[in-house]
Amino acid sequence: MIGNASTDSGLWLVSSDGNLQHLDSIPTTGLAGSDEALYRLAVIRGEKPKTVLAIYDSAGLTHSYLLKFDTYHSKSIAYFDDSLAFFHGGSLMRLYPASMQCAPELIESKIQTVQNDVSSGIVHPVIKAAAELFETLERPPVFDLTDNCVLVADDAEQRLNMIAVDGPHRQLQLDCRVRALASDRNSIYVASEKSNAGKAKSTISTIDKLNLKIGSVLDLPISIEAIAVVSRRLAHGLEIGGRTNRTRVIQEDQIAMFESAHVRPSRLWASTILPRGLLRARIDLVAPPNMAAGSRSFVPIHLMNTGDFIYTSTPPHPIELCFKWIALDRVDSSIEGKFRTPLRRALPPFESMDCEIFVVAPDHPGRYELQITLKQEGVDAADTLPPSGVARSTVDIA
Amino acid sequence: MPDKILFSAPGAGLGGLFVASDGAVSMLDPVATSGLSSHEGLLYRLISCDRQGNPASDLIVYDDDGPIRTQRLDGVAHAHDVLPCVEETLVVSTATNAVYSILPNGRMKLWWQANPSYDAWHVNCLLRARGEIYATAFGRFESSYGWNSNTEANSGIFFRLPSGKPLIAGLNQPHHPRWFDDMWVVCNSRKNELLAFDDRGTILRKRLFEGYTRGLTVDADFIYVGENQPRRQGFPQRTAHIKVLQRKTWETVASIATPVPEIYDLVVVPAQFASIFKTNLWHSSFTDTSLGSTRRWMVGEPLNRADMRAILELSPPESVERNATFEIKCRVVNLGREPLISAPPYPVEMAYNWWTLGNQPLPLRTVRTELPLPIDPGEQIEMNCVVAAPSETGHYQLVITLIQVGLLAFDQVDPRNVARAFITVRDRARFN
Repeated sequence: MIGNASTDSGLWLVSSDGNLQHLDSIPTTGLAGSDEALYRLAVIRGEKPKTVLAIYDSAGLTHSYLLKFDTYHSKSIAYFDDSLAFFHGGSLMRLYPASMQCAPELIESKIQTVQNDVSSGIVHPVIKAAAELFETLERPPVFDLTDNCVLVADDAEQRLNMIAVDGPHRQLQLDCRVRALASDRNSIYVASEKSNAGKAKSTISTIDKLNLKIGSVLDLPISIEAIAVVSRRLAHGLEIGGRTNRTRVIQEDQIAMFESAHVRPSRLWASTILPRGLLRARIDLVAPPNMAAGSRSFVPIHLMNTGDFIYTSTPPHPIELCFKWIALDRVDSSIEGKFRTPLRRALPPFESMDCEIFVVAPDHPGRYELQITLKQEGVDAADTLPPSGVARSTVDIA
Repeated sequence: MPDKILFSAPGAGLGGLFVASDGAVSMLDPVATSGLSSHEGLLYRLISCDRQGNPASDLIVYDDDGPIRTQRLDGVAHAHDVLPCVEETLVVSTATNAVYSILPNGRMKLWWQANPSYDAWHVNCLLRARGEIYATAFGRFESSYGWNSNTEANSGIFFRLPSGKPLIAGLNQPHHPRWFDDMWVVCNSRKNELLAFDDRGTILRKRLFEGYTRGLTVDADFIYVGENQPRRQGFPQRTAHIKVLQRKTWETVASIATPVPEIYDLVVVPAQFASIFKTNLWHSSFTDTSLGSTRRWMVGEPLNRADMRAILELSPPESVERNATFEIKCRVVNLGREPLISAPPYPVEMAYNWWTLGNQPLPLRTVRTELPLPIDPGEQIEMNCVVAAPSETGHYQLVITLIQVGLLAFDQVDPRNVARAFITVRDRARFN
C-alpha cells in the first residue's frame, strides 16, 4: 500500500492495483513510514498556519504534536534509525519521536543536527552520507534513506541518484520532475508530475532496487507532495484516522452535520426544558382488560400534541411516555413505571400519531388503573401534565 | 486581565467545554469533556470514551495559543480525571478502576488498579498534595457497579495512592479532593455537600448545596463549586450552577447559571489563553484527521420487529474468573432490512445474561456493548462484547443477544437471535 498526500487534497491511500481512496483533506507536506507507524507532517490552516506531526498505528491516530519549527520547505522526511530525518536550515536534522516531550520548547530541542554525531563517529553511515551530501545543497532535496544508500532526486538533471555507503553510486534517468520518494525492501517508488496534459496529474513509478528498471507506472488524478509505503495493517489505521474514540466521534459527526448546514449548535440535541405548564397533550388509551402479573407488553395509544412546542425524545430533556399503576383495591398504593418509552418521531403542535407504550404489569394481582402520560426528563414532577393530559384505563392483573 | 473559569460538562450531546467570565457562560465546543487540569501554563483536557469494547479516550494539551498535543489513551474507559505531575501525567480509567501513567515520551503504563470488575470502585478524581497522590472513589467493591447497589450507604473514600490507604471514609460519592488553607476539602457529591477535614478525618467545615456537588477549584479569594442536578429525591431539578464562595468564610458571593445539567470539572485559567476562548476550539485542534467517506450521520430509529434479525456467533473462553470483566469476540450478521446502529434515540447494543445450568437466569446485567460501527443489511462485523462474570463459581450458560435500548431485545422477537456458550466460572487464581 502506498500513502500519498498533496497540499491541496489531504491524505490518499493508493493500493498496488491503483485503487485510490481519499482519507481526509488536511494538507500534508511530509510522510514517512516505519514497520509500526506512519509519521505525517500536516498543516493546520488558520491565521497562523501550524505544522503538526501526527503519528498513526494500526488502530488509528495515536499521538499528534504541534511543531514549533517550520517544516513546510523541508520537502521530504524519512524515518531511519529511530528518527525522522529532514532538511532544515541548510543541513540534515533528526527528530526522535520515541523521546518526544509534551512541552513545545522540548519538542523544539529534540531536533538535532548530526554534525556532532558525525564528528564523533557514532552516526549510522547512511545518516553520515546524507549529512555530508546535504551540506552541499542549496535547496531542500527530495530524498529517502534506505539500509545502505541515500536516494536523492536531482531536479535539474531529472534523475534519481543512489548514493551507496558501501558500493558504487548509481543513477537512473527519469525525464520527469520528482515530487516524492519512498522505498521498501525491494522497490523504490517515485512520484512525479505528469508533464503532458490529461486527466492524470501525477504518476507513481515502481523501480526495482536491484536493476533500477522501471516496473509498473500508476497514473493518478491528484497532485502529490509526499509518499510513504505502509503495510495493510497500517493502512487500516490510516482509514480509522482520528476516529478512535467512539464517544467523541458520534459527537463530531453531529457537529459536522450542523456545520454542513452552516449552523453552530448550542446543543447537539435539541430538547430544552419547556416552560411550566406548556407540555400539553391528549392521549387516548385502550388498554387490554386483563394482563398477567409482571408481564411486559406494548399498549397502543393515540397521542396528540395540544401544546405549542415540538415534542422530541432527544437529550438533554427528552419528552417520553411514562406509565403508573394505581391499585384500586388498596388505599395509597401506586407503582411508578421504571421504563419510559421515547416518542418514535418528533411531534409538532396539533399533530397526532398512533404509537405504543412499553408497559410492565404489577407483580401482584388485583384491579389497577393504568395511567399514561408524557414526562420531560429532568423536569420536576410539579411540571408534568395537568390531569387532562393523563390517559386512564382499568386493568385486572391476574 | 482577570482570570476566567473554564468548566467541562460530560455526557454525549449534553456536554462540552465552557468558559464563565463576568457571570456569563459561553460554549467553546460541544464535545463532552470530563477532567480538566491546569499545570505550568498548559491546560489538560480529557475526553472520555464510554465504549466498552476496545475503549480509547483522548488527552488534549493546550498552551496559550491552542492545542499542542493529542494522545490516544488505549484501554482508558470512562475516563474521569487527569493530573499532570512533574515526570508523568496520571489519568483515571474509572471503568477499569485504574490509574494510568503517561510518561513524557507519550508511553502509557498501568500505574495502579484496584479491582478488575467493571466500574466496581468508581475511582474518579486525583489530587497531588504534600508530595503524595490521592484519589476519591465511591467505595471498595468487588463486583461490577457494586457502588450502585446501595447509593445511600456512605461507602465513599478519599485515599492515598498507590497504597490505597484511606484518609477519610464515610463519604457518599465523593469527588474532587483538594488541599488548601491547611484543610482537605472534598465534594461529598451525593449529599450535596462541600466538606473540609483535618488529617484525622475530623470535619472542620461543611456547606450544603441544592445539588450534586462536583467540580471544585480555588483562586486567591474564592472557591468555585459545581452544583449539579440533584440525584436524590425531594430536590427540584435544575441546570448546573457554579457557586462562588468566599474562601475565608465559605459564604456564597455569586451563583453562575450554566446551560448544562452536569458540570464535571472546573479550572481557573489565565485570560491569556486567548485562542481557547475563541470559538471553534475543537476544529482548530488536529484530532479530527479523518473526514469524507467514513463519516456518516445516522439515528437509531425504532426497528420493525421483522428487521430485528441477526446471526450471532461467539468465540468464548472455556473458563473465566468470577467477577472478572472480559471480552468475547463475536461475529454479528444483520439479517434485517434496516441498518443496526448504536445511536440515539434507540441505540442497538449487544447485551447478555447468564443462566444457571438449571435454566435460572441470574439478575440482569446493565453492562452492554455498543456496536463499533453501523451494520448495513446483509453485512457482518466482528466485535468484542464486554461481559462481567457472575460473582459465584460454577457452570453457566452465557446468552448474548442484541437489544434496541428502550424497546426490545432481539431474542424477544425471535429466540434464534442469540448466541450461547457454556462457560465455567472459577475462583481467582492463587499463587503461593
